Amino acid sequence: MNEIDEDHIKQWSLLFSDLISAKFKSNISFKDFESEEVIYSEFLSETVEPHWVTLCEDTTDHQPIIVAMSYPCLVATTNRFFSTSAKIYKEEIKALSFTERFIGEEISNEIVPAFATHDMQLTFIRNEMNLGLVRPFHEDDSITIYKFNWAIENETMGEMKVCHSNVL
Amino acid sequence: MNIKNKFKRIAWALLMLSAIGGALYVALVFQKDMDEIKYLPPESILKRQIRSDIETNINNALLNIIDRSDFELAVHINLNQDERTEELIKYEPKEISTSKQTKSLTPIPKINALPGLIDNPFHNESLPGFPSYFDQYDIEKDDFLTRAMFAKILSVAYQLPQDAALLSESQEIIDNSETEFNDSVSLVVNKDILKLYQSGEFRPNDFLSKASLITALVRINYPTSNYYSSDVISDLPFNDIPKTHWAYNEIKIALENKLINEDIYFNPNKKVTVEEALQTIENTPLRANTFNYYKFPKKQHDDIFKTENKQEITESNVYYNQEKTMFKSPSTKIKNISIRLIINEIILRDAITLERIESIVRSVVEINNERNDTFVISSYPFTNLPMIVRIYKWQHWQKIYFMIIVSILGYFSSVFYEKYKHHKINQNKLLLLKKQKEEKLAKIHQEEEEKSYARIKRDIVDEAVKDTAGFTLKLEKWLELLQLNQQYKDKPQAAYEKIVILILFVDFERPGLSTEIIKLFHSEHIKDTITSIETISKVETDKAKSNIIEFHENFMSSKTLVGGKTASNYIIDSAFSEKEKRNIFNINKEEPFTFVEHIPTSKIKEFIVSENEVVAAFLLNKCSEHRLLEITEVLPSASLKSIAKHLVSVRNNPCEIMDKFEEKIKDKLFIGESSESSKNKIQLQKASSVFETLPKDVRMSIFDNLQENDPDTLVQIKAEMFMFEDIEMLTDVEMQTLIFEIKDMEMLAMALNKSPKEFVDRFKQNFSERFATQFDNAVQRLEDIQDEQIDKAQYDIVRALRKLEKNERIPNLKELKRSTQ
Repeated sequence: MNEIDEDHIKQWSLLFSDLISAKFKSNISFKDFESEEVIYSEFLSETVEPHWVTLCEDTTDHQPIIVAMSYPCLVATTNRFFSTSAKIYKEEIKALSFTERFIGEEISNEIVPAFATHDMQLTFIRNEMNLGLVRPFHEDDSITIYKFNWAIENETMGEMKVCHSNVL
Repeated sequence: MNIKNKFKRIAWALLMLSAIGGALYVALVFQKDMDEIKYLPPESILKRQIRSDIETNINNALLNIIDRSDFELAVHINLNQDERTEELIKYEPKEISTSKQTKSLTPIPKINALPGLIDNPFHNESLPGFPSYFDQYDIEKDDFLTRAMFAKILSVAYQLPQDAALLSESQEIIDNSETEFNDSVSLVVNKDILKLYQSGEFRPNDFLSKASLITALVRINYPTSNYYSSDVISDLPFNDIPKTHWAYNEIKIALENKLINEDIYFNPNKKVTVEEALQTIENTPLRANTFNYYKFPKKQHDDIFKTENKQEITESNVYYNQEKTMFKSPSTKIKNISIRLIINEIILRDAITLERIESIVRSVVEINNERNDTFVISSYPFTNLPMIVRIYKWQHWQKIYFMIIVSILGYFSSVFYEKYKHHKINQNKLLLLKKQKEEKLAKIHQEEEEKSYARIKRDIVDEAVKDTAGFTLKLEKWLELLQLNQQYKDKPQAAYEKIVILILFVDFERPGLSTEIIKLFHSEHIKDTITSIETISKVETDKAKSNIIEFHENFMSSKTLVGGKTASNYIIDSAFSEKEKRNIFNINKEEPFTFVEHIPTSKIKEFIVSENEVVAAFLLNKCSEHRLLEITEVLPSASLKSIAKHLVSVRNNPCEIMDKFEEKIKDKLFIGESSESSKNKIQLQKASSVFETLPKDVRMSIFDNLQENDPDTLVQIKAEMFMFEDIEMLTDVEMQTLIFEIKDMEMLAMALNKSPKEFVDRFKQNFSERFATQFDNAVQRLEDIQDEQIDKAQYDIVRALRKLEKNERIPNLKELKRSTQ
């Protein structure tokens, strides 16, 4: 099995965007890739806006991986799926509607297959609508965060973060 | 047969015999048979009367006789009475002129007026002017006697009763009109003295034969000997009278009684002269005394009686002054009486004796010994009939036959009764056996039915679990079948009810299966199925059983094949892609999201207002125009406004994920959510309802605590609570309804005391003029208002709102709030 690194994540993001674009018949892409290492507690405190979180686990070393998508990603994807525009009309998104959660689940369903294509065997654990409800790392754990901007029709709508522990 | 039954049968037989004996006794004692005493035809009226008296008396005596043997009793009385009575008869004959033609005189009218005289035309002492018959018709003694004249002579000689001349219907004399003595002819025929020829003729003008003469006289004079002879060959001296001669018996009797004398020949066909006939009659014992006068005229001795001499006497024309003359009438007294009695009855008690008979006779007839009257009673066996005849004629045969028949009937009745009892016992046994058999069969049948039912249930559940789609298809087929039935056309919900019972059954056996089945249902059936589930109450066991069995018989058995639209649609859907379907069958796939048409308006409204407005626009876009109007009417205007702008940008995006979404949303809208989050939400809704009713200070205290510990929950509770300020969400009509319900403008003014102007204006816009005036006055009167008072007023208004909500005069307030959030 390959280890998770930037290249792998980039390749994964390509495949992931391809899968969900095909699935939702929408031009979804991930841009402006960034990576950083932070303490998990810092990550939590910095992440104020609500996120749709998918918790997975590496099947070989049981290391957790979380993929967090900000709510606008899901709302914009939903809007684009049901209309000709992905534009978000709400200024502040505090909760997801039924359809947005459905879209979120469907997006999450493509995370593991996208990793698997690159010989990275993960197991889906669960989805959560609040980052605080997921505790894959200790607060003092150093984690690596890979950030992408979630763009639809080349217009950035939100951001997606892939986090995993540096502890091996 | 047991002893008891035998004893019963014997008792029955004895009882019946006793009854028969009793009946016979009553019959013998109280029913006197007319044949008890038999006698020959009477001779004269007087004799008959006397004999009748004797018989009556003897009869009475015989009632008590004890004698089981038949015997004959003969009573002979010979009375030597004077031949003439002292009675004189005055007669006044008409004055009749005599002439030489006396012989041609016609019979005198009223000839019967002189009994014993005129009635006897043969009288040889004819009074002047009353010539005898012989004289009249110039009958000589040597003349041959005709049969008719002989009949007349007999009627006179033996005083035959004239009433006997009335012939019975069976004895019609066809040639009786040929003689003037037709009455006498009828009389002797009726008395069986002379018989008719086989042709029915009497032949009155034929000459009388000697055999006929003797026969007639014997029949009259010796009636007691009127039985047939037992001779085998003729023992008569007459060579010309064989045993087979028709008058054999009578000739024999005449000979025995010396009416005729022995001779070599009898000459039965010899013609009889008048004199011979009269002479023979004279010798008979029973001739009437009057016959003494009926001697043939002695012309040669007494000229006065000669016919030819009468003319001389009658020359004076009036030949007799009859007014001064008294004539003796002929005697009507009897000379002898013979009575023959046959006693052949079983008579109880006393035996009758000859002394008793004698005393009876003497009580009727005065017998004068000085006159040398004789009185003889003789008794002898009735007859010397052959034994076989006597056996044959035994009078008790009839009783024996009767008893035998009664015994046979009794026996067969007893046998029949026994058989009937046996039959009844067998019948009861058979019925009992049949009942037991039926009960056993019913039990077996019930057990088999239960086993069968258990198997059916297992089959259905297995099918529903293993092949839910196939099972759902079968349910849809059944539904289609039911809907086609006339019985369910008027009550379509009943068909859904049957389906629902089956769904509930499989869900009971495999919880959660109903959800899968309903999801697989065609959208047009989902709403009605859900509605049926909601409305259905407790399902009776029998009803569920009959439904399950009916479904099994129709759809789980290979014996029954069901086609229909559902089946064809399924085959088409399974076999062909959408494109193929369109090409081959020209069938369009069911439009996506058409289920929205069947979702309750309140539910779709609640969903739409809580949904992404783009998604909401998408769903509204899928509704029909009519449905769209229904939904938009209930949507809050703000929501509708935000949704409407997306209607033009809705994207039809048919793909797999869209189908999946359709299924998902269908589940939510038809079945509802059962997730933890949903349950938590319901808890929050309940908590918010409680908070609404709490006093403000208490509520605020709890809220302060929540704000510190669980601000998210507080937000959610507040979002669920319908507060006074939320009244703004009501439509104008609902506002007016509320104001009318409140009526108390002072309370409303109090509640609105510290409210924003926009909120107050919202109320004012819906006031009537009267309410506006009252409200303004109330506002002006408000002074030194405490917060508690305001809270109290607001609380009362919310309570009024809840009341309206309960009465369904306004929509659900929580839903209204959720839809606006």
